[in-house]
Amino acid sequence: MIGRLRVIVALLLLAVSSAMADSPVRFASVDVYIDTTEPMAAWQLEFSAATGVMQIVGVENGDSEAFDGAPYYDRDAVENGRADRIVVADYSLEEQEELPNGRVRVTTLHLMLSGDEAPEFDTRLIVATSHDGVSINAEISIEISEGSTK
Amino acid sequence: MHEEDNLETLPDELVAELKKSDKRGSLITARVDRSLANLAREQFASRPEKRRRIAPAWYAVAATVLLAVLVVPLSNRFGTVDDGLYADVDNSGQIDIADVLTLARRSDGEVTQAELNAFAMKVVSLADSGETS
Repeated sequence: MIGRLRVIVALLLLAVSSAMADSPVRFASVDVYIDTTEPMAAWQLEFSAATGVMQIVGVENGDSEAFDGAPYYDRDAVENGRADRIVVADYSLEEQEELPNGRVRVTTLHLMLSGDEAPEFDTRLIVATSHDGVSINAEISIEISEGSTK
Repeated sequence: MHEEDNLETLPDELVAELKKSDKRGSLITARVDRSLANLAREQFASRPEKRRRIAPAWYAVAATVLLAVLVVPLSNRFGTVDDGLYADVDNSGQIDIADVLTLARRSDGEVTQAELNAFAMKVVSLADSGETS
C-alpha cells in the first residue's frame, strides 16, 4: 500500500515539474504612448491581459518633463504581487506650453508572464484632458519588448 | 422617708391630674411594623436603582465623544482622503485624474499636496477602480 502511494506521489511530482518546465516565467516591458493633438495636462489608463497570465511588477515614468515623477498607481497591489491589471494616471500643473503635445510615452510597465498562452493585452484610455481640464481627443498605443526567460 | 411622706401628702387635685396624664402609649403591632419597614425599604431602594440606569448611558456618550475626538484626527494623519474631496469635481460623470487636476487648480492652496496625492491614489486604487472606470 505504501509502495503504491510512493509511486503515485512520484508520478504527480513528475507531472508538476514537467508542466512547470513547459511554462517558464518570462519578463516583458510595455511602453505606453498617448497621442494627442493638443497639450495634455492629465491622463489615466487601464492595462490588463485579455488572455494569458500576467502580473505587473513595476511601473516607470514616461518621457515628458511635465510629468517628471512616477505616475500614480496602486503600489500596494504591485508590491504584493496582486496586480494582474493596473490603473495608471498622472496630472501636471505646468503651463500650457510646457505640456506634451503629439505622441508621448507616458509610462512603461514591467510584466512577469507565465503559462503557455501568449498574452493579449487590453489597453484602455480612461481620460486625457487639456490644461483647463477639458477632455481632449487622444489615442493610446503600446510597444512590447520581450525580456529574459527564467 | 421624708419624701415619701411628702408624696403621700400630695393634694388630691394634683393626684387626679397626674393620673389623667398617665395614659398608655399607642400600640404598634408587628404587622404595622413590617408594613412600615417594607415601605421604607422600597423608598430607599428606588434611589440607587435610578443611578444605575442613568450612569451607563452617560458613560457611553462620553466614550463616544472621546473616541470621535481621538480617532478622527488620527485617520486624517494617515493620509486617508476626505470623502468630500473624493468627488466628481468637474461633473464629467466619473471620478478620475481630471478631477484631481481640477481640484488642484481651483483650490488656491486650500487643499494640501498630501490630500491631492491621497485623492489620486484612491483614483488608481484597484479596489476602488470600479467606481472610476
